[in-house]
Amino acid sequence: MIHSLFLINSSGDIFLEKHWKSVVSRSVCDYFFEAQERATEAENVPPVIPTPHHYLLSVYRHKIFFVAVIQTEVPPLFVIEFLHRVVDTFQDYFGVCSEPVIKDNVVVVYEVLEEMLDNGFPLATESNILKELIKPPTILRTVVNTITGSTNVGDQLPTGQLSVVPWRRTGVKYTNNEAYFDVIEEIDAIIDKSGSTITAEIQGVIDACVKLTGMPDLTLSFMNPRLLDDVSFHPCVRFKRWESERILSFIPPDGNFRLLSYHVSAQNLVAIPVYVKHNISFRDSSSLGRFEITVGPKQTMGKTIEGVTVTSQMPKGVLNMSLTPSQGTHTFDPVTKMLSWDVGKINPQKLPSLKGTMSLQAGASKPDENPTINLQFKIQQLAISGLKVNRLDMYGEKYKPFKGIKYMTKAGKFQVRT
Amino acid sequence: QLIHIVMKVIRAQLVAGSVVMAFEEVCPDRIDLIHKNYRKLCNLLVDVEEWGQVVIIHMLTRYARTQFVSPWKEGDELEDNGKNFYESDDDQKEKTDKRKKPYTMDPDHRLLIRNTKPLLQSRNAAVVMAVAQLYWHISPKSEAGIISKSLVRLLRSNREVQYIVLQNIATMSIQRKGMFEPYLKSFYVRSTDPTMIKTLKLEILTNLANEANISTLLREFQTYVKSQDKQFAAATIQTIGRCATNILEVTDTCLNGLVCLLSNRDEIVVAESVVVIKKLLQMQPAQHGEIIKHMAKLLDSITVPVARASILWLIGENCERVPKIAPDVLRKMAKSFTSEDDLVKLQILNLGAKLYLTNSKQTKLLTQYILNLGKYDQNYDIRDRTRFIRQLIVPNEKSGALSKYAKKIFLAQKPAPLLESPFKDRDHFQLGTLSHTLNIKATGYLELSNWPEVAPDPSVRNVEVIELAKEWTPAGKAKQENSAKKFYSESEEEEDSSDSSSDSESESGSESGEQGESGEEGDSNEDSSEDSSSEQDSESGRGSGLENKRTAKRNSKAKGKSDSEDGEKENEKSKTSDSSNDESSSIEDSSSDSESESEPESESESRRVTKEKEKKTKQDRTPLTKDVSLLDLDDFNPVSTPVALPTPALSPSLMADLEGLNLSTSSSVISVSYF
Repeated sequence: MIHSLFLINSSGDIFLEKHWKSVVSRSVCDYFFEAQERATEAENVPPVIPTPHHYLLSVYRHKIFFVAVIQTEVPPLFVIEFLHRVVDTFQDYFGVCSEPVIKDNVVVVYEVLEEMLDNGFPLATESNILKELIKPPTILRTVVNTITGSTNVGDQLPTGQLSVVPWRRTGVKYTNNEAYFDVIEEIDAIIDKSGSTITAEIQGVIDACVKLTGMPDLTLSFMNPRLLDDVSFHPCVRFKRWESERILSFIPPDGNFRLLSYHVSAQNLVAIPVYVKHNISFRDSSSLGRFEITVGPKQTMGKTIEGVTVTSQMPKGVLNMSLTPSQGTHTFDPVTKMLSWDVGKINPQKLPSLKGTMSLQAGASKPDENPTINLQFKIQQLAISGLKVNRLDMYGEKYKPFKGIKYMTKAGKFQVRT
Repeated sequence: QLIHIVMKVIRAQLVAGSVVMAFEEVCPDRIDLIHKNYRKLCNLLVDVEEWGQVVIIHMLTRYARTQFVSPWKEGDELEDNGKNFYESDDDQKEKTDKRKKPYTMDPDHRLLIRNTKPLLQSRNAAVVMAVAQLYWHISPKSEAGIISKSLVRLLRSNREVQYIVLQNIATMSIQRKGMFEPYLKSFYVRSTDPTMIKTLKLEILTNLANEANISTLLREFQTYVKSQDKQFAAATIQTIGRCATNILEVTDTCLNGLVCLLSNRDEIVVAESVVVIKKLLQMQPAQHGEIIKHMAKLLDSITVPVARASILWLIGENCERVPKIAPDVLRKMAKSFTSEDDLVKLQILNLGAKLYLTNSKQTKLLTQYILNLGKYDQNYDIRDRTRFIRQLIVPNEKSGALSKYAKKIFLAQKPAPLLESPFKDRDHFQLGTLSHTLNIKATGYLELSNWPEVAPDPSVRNVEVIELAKEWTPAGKAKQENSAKKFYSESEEEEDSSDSSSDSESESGSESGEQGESGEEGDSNEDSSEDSSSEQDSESGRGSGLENKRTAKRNSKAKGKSDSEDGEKENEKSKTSDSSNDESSSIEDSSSDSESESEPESESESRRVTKEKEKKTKQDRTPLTKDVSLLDLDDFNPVSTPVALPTPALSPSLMADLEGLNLSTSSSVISVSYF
């Protein structure tokens, strides 16, 4: 299926290539570069590019293009999903996925890729299994390897791969057994000019970090499972239990994983925790424009809003901005026309605001549209949908684990039109 | 021989995905090889690793399209069925009987659809998409609705995934608007989306537009038009045009809005609106003189060739409605002819010709001047057109009969263009495939065949059931019984076993306190449907003791029952053979019942068929069991499936019970083969 993989950085250099079946010449990437040129922005490069003999499917993440070359019909999502999985694995192995890191760990990268695809077919994509096959690099291991000349390829076959629970390796041991769950909800919203909500929905995930000895069998139940409208599970979750009892029952993988992602049903009205007051105006005659934003809390259930950042893509005509924030710092990049304002915490007594003027290109007509404002924020200890975890039980092992649950609400794609 | 190897290995669960991948590589059109494995694949599907799932689902979709009849006209036929059922009028009955048989879904078809449903919850976008296309292509239309929610969920993911999913939604939304209407707002465009995503979303919004939601949509479009992304703004204008043609109520509103856009400062926006207005005006040639005059004025300022050409065409077409302006425009154009784009030049020639025909007094000289200019143009298209027009309109001695009709030719009523979705022609590709994404047939693309008129013999898949059922009945007890009895006892046992399974379940539930281990085991067994793991194998040593007892008990019970009911069996035999033949349709039970009553012949026929089959299986039995047991030592898997195979007959809850039981039986068989 997947013949080759090319890694291309943002300046258009192929810095890594890997072939599974036969070697495909680098020149196939010329088609990709052509498309890249046409698209002007990296984001606009079409994910699927046909060439006379091959098809190029690409994924753009961390400023790197992962370009897979295929020859025959294959579901495109299959390849794309796999490429994303590759990126996730790199991130898992090296902490970050960037060009220098990949170059530093070229050996491991090749080993991992070799395991993930077998003759072009995905083989081991679970990071737990991969880690057993190929140990992630640590400083100690690199030192040992250089001295002894051994590699970090595991000696034996992973035990888990052929069992019912391919995602968990056997023989896990921890001294303190702990299981942490993070319920993270994101609000996607579009707010219109007058402050009314056009669309708003809540998407949530439960990320888990489970470090438990042996083969524990966990069940997690919710106080209000009805809230969850649409869910997708990690393969470890038993679907039938969920169908019948609305309980998450699973043997967890070892380490960090995403247990569940969900969508809160659309009937529930979404409480929007912040509001943005804005006054952005351009005048026809003068080359100055007024700019003023105030951010304030709304329906926060008594929690403070933290980590607020406001970003806005200003129109091309704006040359510079002279602004004064009442708190936080702001920057304006005159090249990309990107304004960002790092607000921090919102103090309800003293609302943060950003005021000032914009200088426009002389002679240019005023822009048609006011810029949209993108908002980022975080609220700790609150799941905005009201979802609550009831209890977590463990079966199958004797010890008592330490359990912890954290709630958080974040802004997803939160936009205010002005 | 590769094929043989593939078919042998397909039994194992762990490698099923890889095997099907190999199958697709080696012999994708040997659909006959799938028959025997179809049900097993369906049942294993949930437990296969995710990449395998994608491939298997795609293969099964193709398989289902060749093996089952179309479920898509269900609505009408159900009505027929209802009539048949309720009205006792003899005439009516006969009439409906003569018609096509009421549609009942093949149980295997149903099995596939049901077993893939949980996979919509997968975290892997490819799996979700695969299931979605399966539902789209093979499930009844009423059931396909459930996929939309999952697809909309995928829109949260990375841009590449969004791109593919949106494309597929676009195709779906053309055919079945209703599916995605509740999610309209999910397709609203954000300013941070990449352009390709924006245009796709726009496309979907257009497809979903109807009388009810058009006003909100138009308001939304208004914001889009102002977008800084001009390419997107232009696409929005196109969209407004399409909405205006599709929904007649808003045509005027749209037109007014577009005219307002003509005074926009951005040239691309103006040009695009001109083109769209042209199309709209063409569709309703009413009094739009004002708009045309307005556009004629724009000619001085607009430089985009397409827009200029559109305006010229529009004026030429309506030259009789704006008699004063048209010649003036031609005058201006004649002046700038040489510096115009080719597209515009062609339209100037057209305009000249039309004016020459309608208003030759004023424009005769002008037109001739233009024709002369065109004669020496660099572009041969223009020279060609010039020559053609000259011959047609300028009367000379050589001109043929055609020139008499010149006016008719030039000023004929032109059909309005249809503003259509660019995704219209994609529906002949299977959704979710590369070919669909590119709208080109990719190498190795396999056409999805049409539904067969008559369903191919479903018993090709049945064979497996009987064979496997035999090995499943422990210790070859069934061997002594005659085949009819076996049929009976089997179905009896199933029911029985489901009973006992629920018993044992409740037992294990209550006992879970005392024997934590076994209760636990039972728990996990219930959920991890029919998996035969190495781990559980090792446990089966311990567990089988207990489970063996249970099965033994059950078997004896079943035997006793079947013995005692032996007498009854005689008269019930026909019925049971019938039911075991298609072992399933409990859902359509009533219909099949009525059918069998009304058609005694078919019933007897089916009996004959089963009898033949029985005979056959009898003969086959001895070598087969050997064969199978040999294989079994390699993988314990096939044993587990037969239990689940007849499940379509049972209600979902029963099925769950059965599946819980599954492992216990399989482990007992395993232990038998060990000892």
